[in-house]
Amino acid sequence: MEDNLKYITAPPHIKEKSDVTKIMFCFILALLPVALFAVYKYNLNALIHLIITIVVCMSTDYLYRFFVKKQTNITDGSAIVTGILLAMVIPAEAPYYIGIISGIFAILIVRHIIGGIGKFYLNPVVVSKCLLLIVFPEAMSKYSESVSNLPVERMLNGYSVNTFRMMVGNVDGNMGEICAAALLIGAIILVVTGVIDIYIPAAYILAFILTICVLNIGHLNTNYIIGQIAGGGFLLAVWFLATDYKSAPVTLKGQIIYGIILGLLTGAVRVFGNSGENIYFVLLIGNILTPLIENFTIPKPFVN
Amino acid sequence: MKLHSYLGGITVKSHKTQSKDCEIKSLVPQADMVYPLLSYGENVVRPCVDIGDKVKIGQKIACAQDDMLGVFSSVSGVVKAIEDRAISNKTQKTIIIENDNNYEEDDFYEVIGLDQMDYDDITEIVGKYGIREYDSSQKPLYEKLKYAKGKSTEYVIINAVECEPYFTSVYRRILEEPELIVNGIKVLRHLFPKAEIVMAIGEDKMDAVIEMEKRLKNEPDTEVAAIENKYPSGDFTYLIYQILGNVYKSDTEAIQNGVISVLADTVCALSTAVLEGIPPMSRVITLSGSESNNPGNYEVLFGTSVDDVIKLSGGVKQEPYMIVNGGVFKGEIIENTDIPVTAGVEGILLLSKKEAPIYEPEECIRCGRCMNVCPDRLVPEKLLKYAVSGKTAGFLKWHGDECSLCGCCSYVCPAHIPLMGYIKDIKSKINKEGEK
Repeated sequence: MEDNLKYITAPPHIKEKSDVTKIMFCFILALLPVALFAVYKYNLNALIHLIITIVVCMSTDYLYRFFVKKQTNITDGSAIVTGILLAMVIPAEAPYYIGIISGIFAILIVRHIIGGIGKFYLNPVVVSKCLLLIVFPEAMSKYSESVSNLPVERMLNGYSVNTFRMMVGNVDGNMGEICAAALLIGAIILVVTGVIDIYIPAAYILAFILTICVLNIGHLNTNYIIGQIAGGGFLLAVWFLATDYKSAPVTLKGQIIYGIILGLLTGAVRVFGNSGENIYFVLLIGNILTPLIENFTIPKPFVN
Repeated sequence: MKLHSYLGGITVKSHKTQSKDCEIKSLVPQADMVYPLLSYGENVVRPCVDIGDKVKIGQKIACAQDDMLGVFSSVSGVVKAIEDRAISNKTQKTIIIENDNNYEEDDFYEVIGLDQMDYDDITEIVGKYGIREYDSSQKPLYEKLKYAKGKSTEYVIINAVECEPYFTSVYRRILEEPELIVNGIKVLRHLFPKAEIVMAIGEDKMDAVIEMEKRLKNEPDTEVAAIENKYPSGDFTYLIYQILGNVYKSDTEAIQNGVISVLADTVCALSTAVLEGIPPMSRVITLSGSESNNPGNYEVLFGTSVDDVIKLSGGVKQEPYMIVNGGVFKGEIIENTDIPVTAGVEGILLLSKKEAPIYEPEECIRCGRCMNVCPDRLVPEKLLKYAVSGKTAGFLKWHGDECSLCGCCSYVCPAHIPLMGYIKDIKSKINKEGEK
């Protein structure tokens, strides 16, 4: 503390009235339409999942900080954001232990051990989702109806989809992925409140559209492109997961390159793969590339 | 005049209304006067009076070799002590004079007409009078003039921007003593006959801009520029960039390229020294902050203690949460108010806990706000990481050496991390290693 005092009393002596809690509140606000729609559609199941993930995330965070005697700012809300997002990437019919496992894994292993002690930032939600997909493949595909109602899977198998139903969430999928309209409202909230920059999403979406167009040049139609964007967690990934502060590059050029890489890879796995869930593995690859991208995009200083 | 705008920087609540309309008042010191003997490089300033000597106003009490960097008594009285004192974390030799309150004046130097002086004569006067830049650097002006000699100076920039919140002393001087600045500009014109003189004033002080434009209407090649109202517009690098579109890292680099910049207060001191023969013995400071009973602008004799200034101005409402020597962005918190006012004290701020809270830092969330406001286009988040872990190589790889320590990153950080404190620390460590 004595040592710390020298730094905290250093100039400037006035500070902007912003804090981490406010930023996290904006994220929660942006996630609210998505979460509310999930509850509207899957009722009690969705609500229980949400409560489980949020409570598990917050308590894991609190206990970890308590045991390593780190300052306990449980109120800053980042654990709540992680909790909501974790619930949004699992299907409503999944067993409840999925939420408990993913919450503990995301906060304890990914955030605090790999990210804190190991100083290698990965998005807890993405890593946790990837783990669940590998370890519990059956539990993670418990959608309420048959797989044939998953829009992206239908498209990948050559069927056409009803994009209007995808917009209003009248399809099946992971809880946060189904309603494109709710996700877009959330995206608008994120951009308007200024908590995220537009560079990653813009580069991501453009690169993605370009890739699927090039790889599918023979049978292209607008329905296909809109379906690809609106379905299978793409919008959730673009606006809420790829823009995660800790796991995305901070440099401007780096953000654009990161968006392009994610867009290219997502386009490729959508066209050549057979599952909408592949996008989470793409995000994981992006996270791993982040330090490398940052090192290649050190901005030129004003004075040189 | 068309200005270039730079990326980054921040718009801050100016807090200037408290002192903006307060006329400059002179303070009569009560306590003993303390004169620090500030050396510059190899020019060591040594006392030229002894304990017990009687001195008058304007009498030289210390100087370096060849009469350079003179220090002058601002009161009449007796030399009480010559001792080492701790002034803002540094031990400095000081001369202490007991004020006899008679204010007897010494004979000042003879005034020669401006026409009969050449560049070297003026440089000599500036050197002997020990005129320094009126900011915390306190760089002797004669060093600049000496360096600029023989180089074709194209632009002289007078810095009256005052982008730091709270400060209004330069603004008040422009409104109350415009002649002094106009005369200073005449001296500068004599020094640099071919240069274009640009006076830079913050655009939030439009009445000062209009006043100067009116006064300088008949001066050839002299312009007033209204500078964008954000911090750190008044800092050397960004100011020159805004006016000329060129980026210079240091004073010397700018002078080499024909650009010299001086502060408005320094120009006033230049004018009184050259045209009236009076050495610099006082400065105008802003005393402000919500704990001050009478915020305003005060003309303070050099050597008056900060404690005296606070008392004479009317005292404090409550014990201030912090007392800052300088601006809120660059000034240092002072624990001990027993330090003297010198050319380097731009203002004294008595701040309450509400306006200048000290936060416990939280974890960095990598939001990138520090990067967006950085006028040097660096990535403070990375610099912080390397500064905390002490990795000099990584710090330099991310161009940490180009950081101008403006403090914008610390200001915006939502986790309240004192980035500037850490970066300053590692920078001084790098500088020390470089000297070895």
